Amino acid sequence: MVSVGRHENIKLLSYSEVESVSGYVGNFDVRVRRKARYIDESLCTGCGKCAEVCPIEVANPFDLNLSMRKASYRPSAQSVPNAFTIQKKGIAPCRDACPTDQRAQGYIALVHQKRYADAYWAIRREHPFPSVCGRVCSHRCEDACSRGKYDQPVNIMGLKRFVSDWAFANRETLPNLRDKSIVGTPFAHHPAPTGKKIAVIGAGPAGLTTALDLVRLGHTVTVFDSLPVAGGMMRVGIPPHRMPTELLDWEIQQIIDEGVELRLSTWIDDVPGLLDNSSARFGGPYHAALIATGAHRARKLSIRNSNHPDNWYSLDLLRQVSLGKPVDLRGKRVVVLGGGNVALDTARCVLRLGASQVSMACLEPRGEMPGFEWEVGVAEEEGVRMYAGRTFKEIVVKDEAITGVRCTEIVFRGFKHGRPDFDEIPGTEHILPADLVVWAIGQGPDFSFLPTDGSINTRYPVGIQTDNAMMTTLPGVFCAGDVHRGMTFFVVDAIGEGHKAARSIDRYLRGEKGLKEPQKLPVVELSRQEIESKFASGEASPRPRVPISSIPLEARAGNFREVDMTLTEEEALAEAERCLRCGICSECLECVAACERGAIKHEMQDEYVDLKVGAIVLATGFKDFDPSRVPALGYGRLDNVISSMEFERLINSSGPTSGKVLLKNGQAPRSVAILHCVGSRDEATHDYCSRACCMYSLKIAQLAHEYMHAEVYEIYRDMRSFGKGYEEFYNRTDKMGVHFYHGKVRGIEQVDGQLQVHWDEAYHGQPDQVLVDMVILSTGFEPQVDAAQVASTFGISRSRDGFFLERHPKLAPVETSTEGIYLAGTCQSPKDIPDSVAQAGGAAAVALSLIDQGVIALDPSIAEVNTARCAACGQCAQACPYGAIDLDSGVARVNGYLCKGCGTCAAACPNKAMTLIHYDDRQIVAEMIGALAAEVA
Amino acid sequence: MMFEPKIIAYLCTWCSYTGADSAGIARLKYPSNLRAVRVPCSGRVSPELIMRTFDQGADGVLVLGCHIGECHYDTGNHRTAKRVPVLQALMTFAGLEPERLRLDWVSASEGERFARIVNEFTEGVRLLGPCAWRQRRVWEQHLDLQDALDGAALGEAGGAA
Repeated sequence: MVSVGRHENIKLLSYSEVESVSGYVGNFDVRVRRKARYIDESLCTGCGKCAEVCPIEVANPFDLNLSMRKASYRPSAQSVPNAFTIQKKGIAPCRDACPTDQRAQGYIALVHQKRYADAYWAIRREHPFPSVCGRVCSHRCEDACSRGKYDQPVNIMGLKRFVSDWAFANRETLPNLRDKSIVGTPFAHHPAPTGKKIAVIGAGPAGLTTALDLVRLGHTVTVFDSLPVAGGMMRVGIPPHRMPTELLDWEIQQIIDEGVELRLSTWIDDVPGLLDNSSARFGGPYHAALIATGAHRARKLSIRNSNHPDNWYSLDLLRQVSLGKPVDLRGKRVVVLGGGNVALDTARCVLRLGASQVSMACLEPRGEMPGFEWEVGVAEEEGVRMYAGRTFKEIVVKDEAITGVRCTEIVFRGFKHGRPDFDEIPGTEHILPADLVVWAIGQGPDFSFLPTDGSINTRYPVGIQTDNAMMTTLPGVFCAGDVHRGMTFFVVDAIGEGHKAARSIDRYLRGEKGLKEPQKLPVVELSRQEIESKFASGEASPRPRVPISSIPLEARAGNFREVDMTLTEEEALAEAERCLRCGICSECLECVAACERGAIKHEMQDEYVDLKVGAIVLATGFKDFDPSRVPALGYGRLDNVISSMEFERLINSSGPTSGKVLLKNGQAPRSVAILHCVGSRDEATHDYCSRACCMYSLKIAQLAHEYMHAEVYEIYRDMRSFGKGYEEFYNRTDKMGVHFYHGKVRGIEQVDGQLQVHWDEAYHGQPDQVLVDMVILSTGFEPQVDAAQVASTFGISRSRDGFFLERHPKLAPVETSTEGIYLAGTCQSPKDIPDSVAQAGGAAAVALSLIDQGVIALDPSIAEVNTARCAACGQCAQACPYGAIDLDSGVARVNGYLCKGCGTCAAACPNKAMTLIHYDDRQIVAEMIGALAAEVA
Repeated sequence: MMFEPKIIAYLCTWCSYTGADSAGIARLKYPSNLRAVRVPCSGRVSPELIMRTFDQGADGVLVLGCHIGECHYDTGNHRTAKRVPVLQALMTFAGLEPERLRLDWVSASEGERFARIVNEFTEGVRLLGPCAWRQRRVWEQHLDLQDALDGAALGEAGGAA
């Protein structure tokens, strides 16, 4: 193998498939698809560091799934070329569902390996605020999780929170651990400063994400915010009982530490002035600007008395609580209007601020409330009363104070064109008692800071108008986040937009046009069967989901202690084990950080190579017969019944057990039975003899006898030891003390932990049995799984058993009926190594003599066209099994290389324009007339 | 005197002709009414050729090829399998018994099968009696017409062919 790999005249295209073959002998055009290895072969030294750090383990097919290997792997230590490959099945559904393209599978695998710092870096590559999304996200990743198809999705949000909380707890030591968050991304590690300045208006998730991405690309960024704190809605919209502020503040500090300048309490009232520097007080001129001001303007309905001062906006209340300002609601009865997450946050805050009675009222019926279903339940537990499915008609005011909200119950049919569609139920009018009404029916952006000349256009109901590259109608000014969308969505969506905006702005500053998104692999969809086989091979744990715990109800009263608790380390590890590793390689990029040669290239794509060759030799090999197709033998059902190939791996000292063959219970077997003809010479499976199994069975018998010190019983139907030295090998095996039983196996059953093999003696049919510890099944050879497809690609035939068809079994064993294509080895029929090598030599010789001559002799009996009669109907071309005829300039044309002389085209031609040389109609008819002339004897 | 039918068999080189050979090697008996004409593939046999065979006085025509899936030329016998039933339908229409034409598959090792088929077919045609379809002149007329057309085409095209 090594000499093949090194030979100067041999070019090895590994990890490749032939996609198509066209042309004919001497002039083949072959298109090869080189699958992406994601590692540059020419740079890889095979050191294996990438495999060491890779967190993903999968069953190793080289060891027949008896051992595990990493997603970054080398099939065996002696592989040629000796380079590693990264196996990617596709994009994991969790990553596909996340707007930030977060590689959840990656950090989950790192948690599984207790590499929490590495997990934190993996998260921070795409997500600057894991402590926030680990608590409040809508977790579309969990909705898409493959585990959800089987039992419950992996608690991805909980795991993210675990990692971010761990990082915060260990933040003193974290900077000492190598920061890999920048390595491997499109961003260079300490890039050279570009000299470009960008202004970001709004220090919320969208604005800060864009700022961080741009700083990592070498630009200079200043972020402005009108509030005295950074964080946007994350900071002032999410109350402390859901999101403790210290963690978010630390994450924002990390962004500042990377080089982003933050200017708080600054209201930008002149956006165009940022670019042309007509407003020098903002530190410009800037080369580009981003508007990311969010949607902080709460709405209320203009019903009677809704302008009474005791009508508060939810956002104002939440902001006060978040900024630590005192709000005393003791003794007040409060009604929160709205059914979404903001309403729930507000209601639960109001409870903690001492209100005597808290109610929530909304249009939507109970099951359709826009807030998280589980949180509605929690709010009720804490004491919020839910009044769903009603409309608010009036704020009732008596003696200048609010006394209640007048409502009627409704039949709600949903929103149509932004307007609610419902009917009031007559006779259901009632008043919800209230001293204070808080409105939480929705928010929108505040556009008051935009220039009044309309140079930055807005679109109702959508926010600021942008093109596909997120640039507004004012060149150089971009937009991202809630203000772009015109309404609120989730933090994770804002971060996703922040990334996209950063890419756009960077391109704009470099003068490139258009937003080029990188080409992605398809999303992985696991079948139920695949999921179950992962449990069976130990790749994932079937245990149920670990839920988040919360502090008891009594502990929550009157304070803003965080209600949900983070997972414990034990719980996190248990949950991480549940991940199915759908995409296999998760692109956590640990390998990139570990590779000292820089050989890892995750953006690699499949490559196509076009070759022009004169001859083709197929040596595509065989497939082992799957013994589970013979149920009587109990493979896959009974313990200690293994296939011959599994035995080969087990007894191999570089195999999964370092050469120890043991029973399921860990003990060494005292007796072993080897059964011949499994999947061969059997009408039910394959009726041919697989030729090599008798000899390998004898080899296995010798190995078992010498190295396992077990009693060996070989049960054979016939002993086929026909080759040079083979009979002598058989005799030696016999003399060693291996027991030979001549007969046919009927079945195997389990008896007290051992295996009883039932067999019938060969000559008299006498039934017999032998009790052993382990059974080895000598499985036969089958054609490869894709043999039909390969045969079709190369245009060759297959024999009845599915192997490739040779031109003649005795006189042309290496040629096929297609000129120029030759066969070698077990793809043509089962055989052992000496025969394969001999046939390969034959194929090489024939191929060489073909191309060495430089000319090809054709069979004289080929089809010929009488162009005078040809009407170019194309019937001949359709009939030809070899595609040897095409239509050219109004007549049919025969390719002499491809024509095999069958004459089907001549029979098909309606005009008799096509004929077969030496089998012309006249010749056949003349013969026929002569034959009929003679009288019957 | 018993009627002795004249049977023409079109045998493909690779399977049925070799099958006939193996019948011979095994000394299997089959009626000498059979006259074999070897073609490279059963696909070479056009319906027109079969009709010409009846024109020239054959009482029965037997077309034997490789088994489906084993044609030496991949799909040649697929074509034959389609053509012969259509021809048999047309024969009925024209007043010629369709039982006088049989299509079957014989592989190179099936000498016994070959002999059996020939026996069966010969007896069947014998029962049908002599074939009344005799139009010897048609072939000669066809040749004349072809020459005339070719000549005209050659004249027009100035010798291009």
